[in-house]
Amino acid sequence: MIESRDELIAALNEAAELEHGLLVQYIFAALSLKRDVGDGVSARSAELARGWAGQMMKIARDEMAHLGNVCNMLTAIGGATRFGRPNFPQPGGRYYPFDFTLERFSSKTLVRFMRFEQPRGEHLPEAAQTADGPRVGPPEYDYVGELYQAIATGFSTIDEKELFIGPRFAQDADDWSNPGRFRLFLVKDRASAIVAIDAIVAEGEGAPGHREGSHFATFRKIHEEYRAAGEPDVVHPVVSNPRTRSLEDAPIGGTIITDEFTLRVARLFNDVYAVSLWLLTQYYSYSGESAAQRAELQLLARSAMGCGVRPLAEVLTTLPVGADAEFAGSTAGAPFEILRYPSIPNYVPNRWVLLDESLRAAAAEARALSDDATPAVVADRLRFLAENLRIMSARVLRVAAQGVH
Amino acid sequence: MLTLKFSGTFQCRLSTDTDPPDEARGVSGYAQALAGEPSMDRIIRFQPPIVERAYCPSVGVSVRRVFVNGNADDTSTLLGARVDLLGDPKFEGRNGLIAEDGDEPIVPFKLEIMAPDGTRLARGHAESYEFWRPEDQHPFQALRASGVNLSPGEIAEETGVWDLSAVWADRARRLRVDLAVATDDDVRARIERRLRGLEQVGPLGPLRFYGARMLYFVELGGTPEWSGLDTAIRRSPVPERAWRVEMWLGGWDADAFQGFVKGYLHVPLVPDAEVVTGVSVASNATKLRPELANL
Repeated sequence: MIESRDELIAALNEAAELEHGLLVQYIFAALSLKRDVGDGVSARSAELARGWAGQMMKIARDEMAHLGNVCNMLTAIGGATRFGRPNFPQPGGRYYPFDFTLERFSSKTLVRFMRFEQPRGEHLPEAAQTADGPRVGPPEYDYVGELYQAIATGFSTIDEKELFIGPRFAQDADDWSNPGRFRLFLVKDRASAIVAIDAIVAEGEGAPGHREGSHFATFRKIHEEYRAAGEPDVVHPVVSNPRTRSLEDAPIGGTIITDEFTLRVARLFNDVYAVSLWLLTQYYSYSGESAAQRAELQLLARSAMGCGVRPLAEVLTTLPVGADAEFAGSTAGAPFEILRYPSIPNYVPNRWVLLDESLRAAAAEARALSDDATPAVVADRLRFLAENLRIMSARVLRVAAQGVH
Repeated sequence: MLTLKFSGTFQCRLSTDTDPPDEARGVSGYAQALAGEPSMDRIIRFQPPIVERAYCPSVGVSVRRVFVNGNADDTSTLLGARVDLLGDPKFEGRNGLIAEDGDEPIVPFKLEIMAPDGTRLARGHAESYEFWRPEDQHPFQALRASGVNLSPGEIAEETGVWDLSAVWADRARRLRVDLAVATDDDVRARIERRLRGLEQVGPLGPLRFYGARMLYFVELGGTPEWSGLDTAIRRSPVPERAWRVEMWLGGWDADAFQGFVKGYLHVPLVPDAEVVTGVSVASNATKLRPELANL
């Protein structure tokens, strides 16, 4: 039972980590799907795979909106935005009531995703990996919907006049250039908080008797289609939980990338991913940036994710993980490692300086990697990425010059 | 002044947000290369070869009218000349990073007119492209669209298509006929995917772009190239003066990856019949985005 601001912030932090972790797992699996004929993939299978990937990317985008809504709730009650999360893999019961693991598209993965979005009382088509121990609470929950129910109870229980102390102008109600498809809610009181929570749960679970269109129903439909198609071989042979090093918060499991070139690309991926988390943190941690600067932060965050994280993640699904016999034929996939907790300088002007330095360093590395890359399509994508990172750097320098208002 | 009015259909197979700008196949955006089609490459093509889809218009942009000092020349050998953009030009928006939708600069920008008798004019915006000058508000400021406006009537009159949704419905009907007799499962899969695209006729679907025009006004200050003008119009361009292109691109048909372009090329001429020899320049072949080399 959530009865205090502190408990509510803790539960919202949990929700933020959860949404972040879910969307990364969905993206990892979606990008493991092949999209064109060749390598034994028929046109029929390629079109099916593209359709599944598109639906999963759409769900991942919904989860990004959920994360934005959780940030708004945190801001509304005086909390801090949270873009950190534990690294992969995490066994069920350690942080969350289910396994968190980066795995390629498969029947098993889809059932696991259904478990994430499962409404209480709905059955899974086969046994999903389940918690191997009770989650260390609070908050305690077995279903994501239960966590949000607990949060809703907190919003309903705590005195409304005392609870909502955060500035509304620091929240984000923009559609991020996805009109009608990316919904963020301004949280200003108990009623608007409940509206936001209900929308999150409805997108994930649907409503009793009306699951169609929900994330749960979409994963179930994809699973049925995949099984009906005979589970075609449309998946890049990416390893589970690729990583660039051992990780303190995820000491067990994971596949360390040993191929030298792939390792450099994976490290670059982590750097660009870190930039995107930085940009989101700064965007949602309003500290007096001008309206133009905030708009620029949103654009840069969108670009870092869409023109940086995703292309690199796609490239990594095609690169060898290592030369060892056990990795024969396997490719890497994106590690999504968080090696430093996302944080930004307190003094706003310094934020732009450090951001620019990170972007220029990443651009230089992307450019250097493009010179060494084969095949040509990988070299072209890395060169294009280098250009885009330099453009982002140029935009940062411009917007920094606008000063703080 | 030589003024060439041109128009026609172009193709540009580009991915759309929320796919990355260099997405080759299309996953989360509405633009998708069908399984087995070549990858999307973002290049604006005024002339074949293109990637053709059944029941879509052919591509080609040509000179429709010729004016010399304001007088129409209906016998000019430049009439019907093919119009092309050289150097693998692209809409450089990059999902808002360079420009938002509708404002995208076309980079590089080099227009060529080539008549069947060999008469040729060509000129680029510049010899090199400065990505972002300190005094400019936006990257490639001079090459950006100067605006977007909704002009469904103007577009319909030029294209002859007054209701793209009806055109799509007809295409879908013909594709369903093809589907009914297709026995190859891969062919069926491609038709089915295309039909799903043609069913996106809601208010947020790609049909909404059809009535919009992107307006461009570009100065061509690169090295001018011409040949055969002494025969075609008995005059020659003033080498030191810029040429100008005004044009709009619109009527976007997302199923065909095609749009319509209409515009004018204005070329200042020497006042008398004195012929100035054209300049020959090297190949227009470009490496990957050399315009961004000066970032």
